[in-house]
Amino acid sequence: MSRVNVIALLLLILLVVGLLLLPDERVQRIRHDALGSAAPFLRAKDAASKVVDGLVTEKPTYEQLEKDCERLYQEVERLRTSNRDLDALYRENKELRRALNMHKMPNFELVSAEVISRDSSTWYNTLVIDKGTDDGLTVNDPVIVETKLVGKISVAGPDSSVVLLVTDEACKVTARVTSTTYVGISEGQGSQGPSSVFTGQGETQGSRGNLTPRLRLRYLDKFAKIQPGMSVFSSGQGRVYPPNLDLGTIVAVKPGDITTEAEIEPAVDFGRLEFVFVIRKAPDEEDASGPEPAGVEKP
Amino acid sequence: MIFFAPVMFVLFWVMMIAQEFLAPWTVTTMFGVAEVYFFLPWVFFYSMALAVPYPLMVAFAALAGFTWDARWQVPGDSLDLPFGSSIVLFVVFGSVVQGIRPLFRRGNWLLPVIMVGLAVFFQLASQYLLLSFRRGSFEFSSELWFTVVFTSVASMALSPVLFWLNSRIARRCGYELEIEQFTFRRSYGHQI
Repeated sequence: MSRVNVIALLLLILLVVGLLLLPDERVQRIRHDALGSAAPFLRAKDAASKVVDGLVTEKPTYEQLEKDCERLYQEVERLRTSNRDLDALYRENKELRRALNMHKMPNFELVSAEVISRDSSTWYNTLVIDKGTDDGLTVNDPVIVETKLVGKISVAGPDSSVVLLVTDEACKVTARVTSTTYVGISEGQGSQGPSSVFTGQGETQGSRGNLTPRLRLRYLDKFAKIQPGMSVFSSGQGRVYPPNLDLGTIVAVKPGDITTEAEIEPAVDFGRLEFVFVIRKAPDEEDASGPEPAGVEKP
Repeated sequence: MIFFAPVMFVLFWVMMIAQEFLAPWTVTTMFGVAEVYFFLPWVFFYSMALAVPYPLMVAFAALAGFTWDARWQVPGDSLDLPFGSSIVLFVVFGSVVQGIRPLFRRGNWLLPVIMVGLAVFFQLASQYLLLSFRRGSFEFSSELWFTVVFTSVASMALSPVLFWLNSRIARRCGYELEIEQFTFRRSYGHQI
């Protein structure tokens, strides 16, 4: 081996060792910058796919739009009324918590985001949204749709973020089985193989093949009385995910020697996600009569 | 070489950008469903590994591995693929591919095409094994193998296009990529 080759290899080894020793913050910074550089292309891809979709899908008629508009007005009015009730309950709850000297629950606010890409990363189930650190998002912020848990932010770029889905083995959520006190840890199924959520044509593979993106609820009590059909929610322990976010429904129970394991059908149809909400921690309130729960529209 | 290397550098970034627009394809076989990925930067790197000297291949391995890990490896937790691991894999399999560079220079593309597919196969398999080892769960489903094999076959299908592109660019840049091929042809089957 020539001297030049040896020098090249030594330099490479130095580089790799340096990268392996990099602190997590620096790695996150590098990924932040890389995602920031890729964001314009992701947006271009999203725009192009929308143009193509617009060409092939049928446009709604004026009457249909008018009907939709009317329906949405009614929905807004109903939600405003509901929010007024929730607001009163929130204040009451806050007063009672203070009276009982209980730990204050963290205050959250919602940031809406649009899905702009399904990553073609081999080993991870991810998608990319169009909001990032410029909008106040940070790594590990939970991502939801309606009241269902989608995942958490894994890489936060300046104006886009990578969301690691709950169907990924690396995304672990402390979960509780509904109407019980059984708590376990939910994670994606590694056995389903690489990136088993998206087909690239906007459908989940679960509907057609064996690659059903299911979750595994592990470390349940050995004698847990659970059965298929029961719902599973986030427990709020660990303080990464808020409590009571829907994870899915139990489809199978596997009792083990030490713990029980359950298989969960996810609540979210990941292939059809277009818009999601990111839950970010709101600034702490200063006084008891502080602002309403963030993300709740004022009547 | 002075012009060829910078052009390859630019072309690598073009491949990285093109990768952003590629989504995996789903293939349904009689045995199950598999996803087929088109890893343009990987195929480009391995096809380039056949075209450039060893030190330059190592430099491109560093570039390809770093950018791939920065953009495409998503950190879940501390048990995931370490940042920089792709550099090691690129340089290991790039070195193996370099072993058949003389054959490529003689104009034989069959073995290089197979080698590109094998390099992609072993790189994917290595990543999966490393990930499984760090997470402590070795699970090998048929879907996993289908995905790895089909992705490797797709890479093999892409590689001749990139070989041809590299040859054209080399010729334009005055870089003698296949000098032995031309001497072989000009001498009607006999080495000069």
